[in-house]
Amino acid sequence: MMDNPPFRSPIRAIVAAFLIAASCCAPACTAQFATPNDSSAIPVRLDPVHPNSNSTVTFSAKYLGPIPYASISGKELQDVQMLDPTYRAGLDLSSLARDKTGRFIFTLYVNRANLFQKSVDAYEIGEDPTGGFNDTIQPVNIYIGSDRSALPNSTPLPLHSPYGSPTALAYKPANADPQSLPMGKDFTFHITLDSALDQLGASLGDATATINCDRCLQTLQVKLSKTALSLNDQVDATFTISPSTFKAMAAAAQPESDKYDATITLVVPVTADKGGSRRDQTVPIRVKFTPPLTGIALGVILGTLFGAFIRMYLGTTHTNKQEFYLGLIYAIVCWLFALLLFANGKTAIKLLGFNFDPTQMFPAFMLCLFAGGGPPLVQLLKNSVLGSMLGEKQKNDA
Amino acid sequence: MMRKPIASALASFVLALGTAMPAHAAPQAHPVAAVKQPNGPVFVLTLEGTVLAVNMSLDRAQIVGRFSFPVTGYAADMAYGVVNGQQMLFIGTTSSSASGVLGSVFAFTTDGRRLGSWTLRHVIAGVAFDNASQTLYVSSGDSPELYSIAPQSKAPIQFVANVPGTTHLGSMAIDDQRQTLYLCDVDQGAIFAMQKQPRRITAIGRVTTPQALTLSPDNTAIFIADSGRKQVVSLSLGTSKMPMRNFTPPYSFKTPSGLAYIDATHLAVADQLDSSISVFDATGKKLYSLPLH
Repeated sequence: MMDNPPFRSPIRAIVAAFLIAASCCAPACTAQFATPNDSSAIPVRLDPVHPNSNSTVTFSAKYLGPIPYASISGKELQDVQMLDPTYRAGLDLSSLARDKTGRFIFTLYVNRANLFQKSVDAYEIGEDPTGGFNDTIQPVNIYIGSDRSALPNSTPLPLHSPYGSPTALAYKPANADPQSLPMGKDFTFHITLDSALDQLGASLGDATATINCDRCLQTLQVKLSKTALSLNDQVDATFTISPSTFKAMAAAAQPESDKYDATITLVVPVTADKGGSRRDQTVPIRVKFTPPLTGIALGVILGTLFGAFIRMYLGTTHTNKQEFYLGLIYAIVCWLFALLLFANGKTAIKLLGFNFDPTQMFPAFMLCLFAGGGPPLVQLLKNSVLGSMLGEKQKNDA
Repeated sequence: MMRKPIASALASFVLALGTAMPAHAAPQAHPVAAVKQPNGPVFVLTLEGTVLAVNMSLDRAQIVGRFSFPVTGYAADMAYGVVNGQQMLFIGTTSSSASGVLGSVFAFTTDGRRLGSWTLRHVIAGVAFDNASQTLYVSSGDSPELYSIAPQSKAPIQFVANVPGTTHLGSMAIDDQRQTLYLCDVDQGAIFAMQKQPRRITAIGRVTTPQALTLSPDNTAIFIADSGRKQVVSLSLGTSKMPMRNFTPPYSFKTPSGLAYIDATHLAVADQLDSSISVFDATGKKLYSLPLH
């Protein structure tokens, strides 16, 4: 921060008063300074920087003309570290704004060191970023007067990506991947998102969430635990859902993947501090619908009983009682075996696109039905399906 | 030897950030444009994609409504117009992605209902509505190109003209009396007048970084928000020997970014970094300021 100019002599005080008056006699003065003479300007140049290997930020310096130091004496200026003490320069980072063309601009004040506290030359520094990078702060070389004037990498500047920060939030699903969503009741769960911000904090907008299965949720709401994110910070996203049971069962029967049924897409608008662009961060959350235990039990029991009865009525190898018990045993053992295979997350049983997931109510019912019914049921299906197909063929042939 | 100055620079930088940014105290509201609805409020557009309706009188102002729309990128400019009896706000926004820049113009009712949109593969820096021809002009912020939209039809954006010698066009203002469109180059600070019929483009003045233009209600001067010198200047459209005058002293704003006349003599000036809108009388005296966050 720079000090106010000391008025040590009457001459200095008169000069300062004149400069202040000149800057404040608003409508009476003409705006001739509006077209500053560039040839009188002290040369100012900034080296381009590369926030990452795919991006570059170049800078332009526009001369705005001289102004009395008194006009800026109250500002918090960041001193530019100079090797050559001939010049002095201060950056006004609080002036960082966007112009109509989207460029980030801020003001630099420069003069010879011995004249700095009388008047300064103002420059508008424009940032022209290309490529994607997380908004950050990086040291920049600023040359004032000559190319040997700046202390290398001594001036940290905020750099904003034109796209906004592409990877400001990171989601690492820990134990809950996929996230279980119980059917048939309202449910709340939360995930934690880690800040991947680079040097600059950010504000978070209203988050939204959608799911890619057709109307399988009656309601899906999300709320963030905070509206501002800092470096090495975390934010919790709390989801409140109300599944539509039958649609959720249908989604579970035809899942998006062997490991999860659907994907919730969380969108969090992130805007880096100091005037960064808003960028929507998209976080996919894989979910799996789980019926209540009673539902699974009901599916297993009904499937087992139906299967065993079918076997009892159709089976001819053993007595009815034996067929019934065999049906029960095969159904339960088969379901338990499928459960064991599914537990490792690497096995899927699919038939005609239908997923026989033993943890789902309807698939568990079907699995137990087929296992309990056994060969007699398969024979029955074979005869009826093949019979009808053969009948169709004969009809067509005739 | 090198570490100490770097450490002190970093420390002063962090200090500057800490003092200059009360970042999360309030929702972000950085006004970038202001337009006046005849016999209605002043609409203020923020960089973040919110439109505030502000009732402004000579001694006080009050926010009476707002609507927001999702902006990926930033909002740059806004114009008011009446199309087929429907009052509309036209808003220009720009977003960027790995595939390039995408400028969008949205048409909203004054209560925030979206009516339509148009896209352009350029930065959209300015929009201005010509009531006489029912044409919305759109300036490109990354080229010398000027485009037009016919809001009453579903036709795409049409190329109108190149403004020679410019690189980054910005805000615009329309002079119905003279059938002239005023526009500016943000980079070079030049102000141009484009006569519509016959088409003729002439440079009429220069400031440092023009952010907004508006015509005085009597059509005698054009007012320019100059964010380089952080002031508002006026440019006489007559034959004055001193066409350019200070309306406010240099460095009287943080970043003047939007201009709108609230009546025949009082000018409202939106300040992007100050998150405020202020009212000035005809002599450039500030009457009051309204914080927008």
